[in-house]
Amino acid sequence: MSFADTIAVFSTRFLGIFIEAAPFLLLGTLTSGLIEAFVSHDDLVKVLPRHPLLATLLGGLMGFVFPVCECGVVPVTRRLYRKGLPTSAGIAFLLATPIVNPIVIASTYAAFHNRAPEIVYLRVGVALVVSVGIGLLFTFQKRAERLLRSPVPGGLSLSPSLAAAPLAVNPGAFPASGSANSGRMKLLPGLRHALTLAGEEFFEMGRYLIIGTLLATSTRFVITQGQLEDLATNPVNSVFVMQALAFILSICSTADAFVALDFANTFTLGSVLGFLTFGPMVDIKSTMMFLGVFRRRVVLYLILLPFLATTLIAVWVNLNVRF
Amino acid sequence: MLSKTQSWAQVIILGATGAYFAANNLNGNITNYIAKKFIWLSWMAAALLLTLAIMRAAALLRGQTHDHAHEGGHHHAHATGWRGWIGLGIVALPVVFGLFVPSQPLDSRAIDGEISGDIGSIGTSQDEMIGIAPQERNVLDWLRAFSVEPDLNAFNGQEADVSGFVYRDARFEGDPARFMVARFVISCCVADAQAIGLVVSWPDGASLPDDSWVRIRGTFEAGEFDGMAPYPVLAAYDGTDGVQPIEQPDHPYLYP
Repeated sequence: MSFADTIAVFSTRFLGIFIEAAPFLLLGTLTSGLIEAFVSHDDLVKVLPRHPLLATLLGGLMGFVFPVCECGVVPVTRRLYRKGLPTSAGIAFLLATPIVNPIVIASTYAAFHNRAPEIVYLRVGVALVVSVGIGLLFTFQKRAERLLRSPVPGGLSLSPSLAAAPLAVNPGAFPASGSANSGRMKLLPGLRHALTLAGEEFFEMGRYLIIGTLLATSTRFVITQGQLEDLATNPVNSVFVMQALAFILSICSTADAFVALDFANTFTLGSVLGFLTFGPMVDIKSTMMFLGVFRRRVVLYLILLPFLATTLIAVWVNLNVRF
Repeated sequence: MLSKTQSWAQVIILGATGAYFAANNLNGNITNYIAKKFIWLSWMAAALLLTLAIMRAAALLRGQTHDHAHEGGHHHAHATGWRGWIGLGIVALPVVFGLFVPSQPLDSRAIDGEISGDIGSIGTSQDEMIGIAPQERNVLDWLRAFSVEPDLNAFNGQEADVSGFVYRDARFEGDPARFMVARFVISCCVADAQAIGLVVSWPDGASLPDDSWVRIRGTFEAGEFDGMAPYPVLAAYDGTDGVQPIEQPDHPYLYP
């Protein structure tokens, strides 16, 4: 292929992923901005159970309240940490939400309509178990800011500052506890503040999304699907192959079920399940976004733990489950 | 924190990206990238990006750049100086690609031997085929019909009318009359694109350039392809009754 041809194909593939992902990233940053403006620290504390297990479980189910995919979930998680979400619940939320949310459940159901209930139960069940399990491991680190790399636009909850909120209304409305800007804002200034933050976060997260998209697009030129498909039927190898594919392709979780369907005839059930659970938790573009938000060691855990957990479950399914 | 120039660069990038999304939707290029059912998302992105650009410009004009007030002591997440420019450059990349590389759908160049004419590789169920008259079937519908019919000879003599682009690879060497009429199938965006095709035979086949769009009319007959036999080969009618060059359709991809 000539250089011009390579650029033409590269451009179409790169823009394809970006155009599909950007709206979800924008929705995520907008949600994050709205949370910042309208959800107070106290609101969150009131809603969350005190027991770590229950709080983590609730974290895994919060996708029903904030139905975002893997691009949008990263800024929302960071924002919720700022509002005082426990670390374990945040990790469970981060990993589960791209799967355990109404939009993704509906698209999985639509894609697998003739095998739907089983695949949907398996996908959601495995995602919840894995994400809550990993979330619970993070109960050992109580302080969310120790997981994060750099301060959040708008400041972390521990740095009381109206700095990034020059539009903030009446300082007297905030609790005197020192967590000044974790209160609730009035409607119009709040909306304006939410949009300002969304704009900032779009640039911050957009960088990582675009680098991830470039990497995913380049990898497609090096590794072809045909090379991987030769390994489709082995109960162990097929799982690794489908996880690798999910990682490389970086397809949005709202649509990956349709892609998985395409493999469901050739690949083992466990490997398809691995694709449907590991992929939305970790792929090239979300890894890049994790790197922008979390410390490197935390990112390593966020990749390895879901990888190990979904591999074990998928191989077990291959050896034991038939339907 | 960002300099004033960098803040205005952000306004320009947000506005240009929003305009790029809107332009893609208006000129129809959007279907080169994502499935029809997600176009509304792209409209939403255009509206949000333009709103963010306007908000940011208004704040700058009012002199309320966020970097005025950092007395709270937290240092800002944006990098400064040249690193800030690199960050901005990365976010500007989609617009740069969009402006400088002509928009094209995926074609033969993106296939690289990975095309599926395999019967049974398309997941389908019997009931999906009901209600599509043979004359109305596109390339995907025919492959699905093949995959649910145990006796491939059942298609002999059936008429087909399909369109797609011309594709050839090593398997067609030495047989100039044969080629594939191919399409990409996408569910979401080109990240999940799968190439599929029907094998066509037409006496003048060699005259058709790769990637040219054609409409094929003909009947299936039992043949063989890539070691598979019997394999339904679409024998196009002689002359322009069988193969007509056409414009690339508005929706170049098929949706499952």
